[in-house]
Amino acid sequence: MPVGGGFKTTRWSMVNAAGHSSNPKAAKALAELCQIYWPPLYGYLRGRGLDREAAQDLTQGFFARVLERHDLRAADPGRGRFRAFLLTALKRYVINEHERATTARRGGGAMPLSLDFEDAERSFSVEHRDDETPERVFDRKWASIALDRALGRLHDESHQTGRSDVADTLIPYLTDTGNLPAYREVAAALGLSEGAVKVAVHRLRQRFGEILRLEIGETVVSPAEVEEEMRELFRAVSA
Amino acid sequence: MICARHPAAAPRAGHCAACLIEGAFGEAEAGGEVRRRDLTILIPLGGSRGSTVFLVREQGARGRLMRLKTWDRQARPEFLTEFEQLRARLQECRGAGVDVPEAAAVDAKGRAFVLSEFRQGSPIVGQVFASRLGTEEAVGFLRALVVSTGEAHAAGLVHGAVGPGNVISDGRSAYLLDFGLRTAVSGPHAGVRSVSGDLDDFAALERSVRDAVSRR
Repeated sequence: MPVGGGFKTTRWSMVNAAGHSSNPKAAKALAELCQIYWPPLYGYLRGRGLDREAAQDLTQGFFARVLERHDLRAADPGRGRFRAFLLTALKRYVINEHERATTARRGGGAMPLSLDFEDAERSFSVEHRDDETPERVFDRKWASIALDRALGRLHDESHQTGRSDVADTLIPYLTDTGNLPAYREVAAALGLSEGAVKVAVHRLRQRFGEILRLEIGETVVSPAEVEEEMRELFRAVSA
Repeated sequence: MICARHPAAAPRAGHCAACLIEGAFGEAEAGGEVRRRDLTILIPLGGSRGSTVFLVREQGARGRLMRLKTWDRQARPEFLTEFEQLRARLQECRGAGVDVPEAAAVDAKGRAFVLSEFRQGSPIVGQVFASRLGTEEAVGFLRALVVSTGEAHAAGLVHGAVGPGNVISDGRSAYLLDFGLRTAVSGPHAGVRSVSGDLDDFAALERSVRDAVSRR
């Protein structure tokens, strides 16, 4: 079902449309989104000063609650972006957990998501800055995931539809700042004309923009929000 | 790897994260966000050496009338980054009459486009010359703008190109257009004036209004 004037149904719009009713497709879409975008929550909790174990407990407990019990009501997702929903829901969850003064590890059933905390911790340690707020940690990690996924898709697509050597050589030119070899040299190495290299780089850049918008589009409800979300992520990574 | 333009941005697979998003914003040939809004140019509103202003209509349910400014020369590579920063900071200090642009893009040749809200009005000086606006009223409007501009200066923002064409009035108040855009498009050495220069320009504008009236 198209949402918002021709905007295709995204995972988040599907979850929103389902509301609090039980819908297997929406539940699956929510689980997929959570599986992709859980590390920013862990980063947020670590950024708040929680130790590794406490952050892992809360992350696991939060997703157990959201996914196993389909407990979206507390966060009132309504309309909006998945990023905002997830952070708001987590904050409320942390307050509730604090009130209960419990540090007991979530247990009982199988965890609905596969969470690689080692990788999340490594990433947090490398990228964390002391002057960052937890919210900034969250947003930066969110942007990193969207960018990594877009780069991965671009890489896969380029390898499937063209010469792998051309893709591997030209993808670094997505963000060329003048330090890479000149197009003329690259063209000679690849056996292409300089013009063909320029066109190929231009297409890669365009395609990357499209893929990034698709990735971000999965976490918003309307197309108008994609640009605003991109602006916010840009601010998060550049500030 | 640290990006010289975005030193705070973490690298992603050898790329600067901010440059990646900036590049996606640019999408040069498509005209970026400005183009995606499906604008129809209605009439040229005017221009100066190096830039042109159009009245455009946004497609869709709202079909708003908007102001599109285009530049003839290539914008600096940092343009989109600086535009976003400028926009965010203008929104923070949002003084009365200081317009905050909505979106920007560059075309295939690197020329900038900026989309803003359309203000019904014309340059305030012309209105005074044509006796459509009283001198005292005009000066009152300008004083309000000086206050807003002073607040922007306090926040570290400089218009950089205050001139009669950028100060318009709809008869109820005055608006200062294109705040900070000259610097974002052409760089800090493109004739951008200092803070005091801006205030001098305002004073000169006020003087020219008064002189024009006293000559009549």
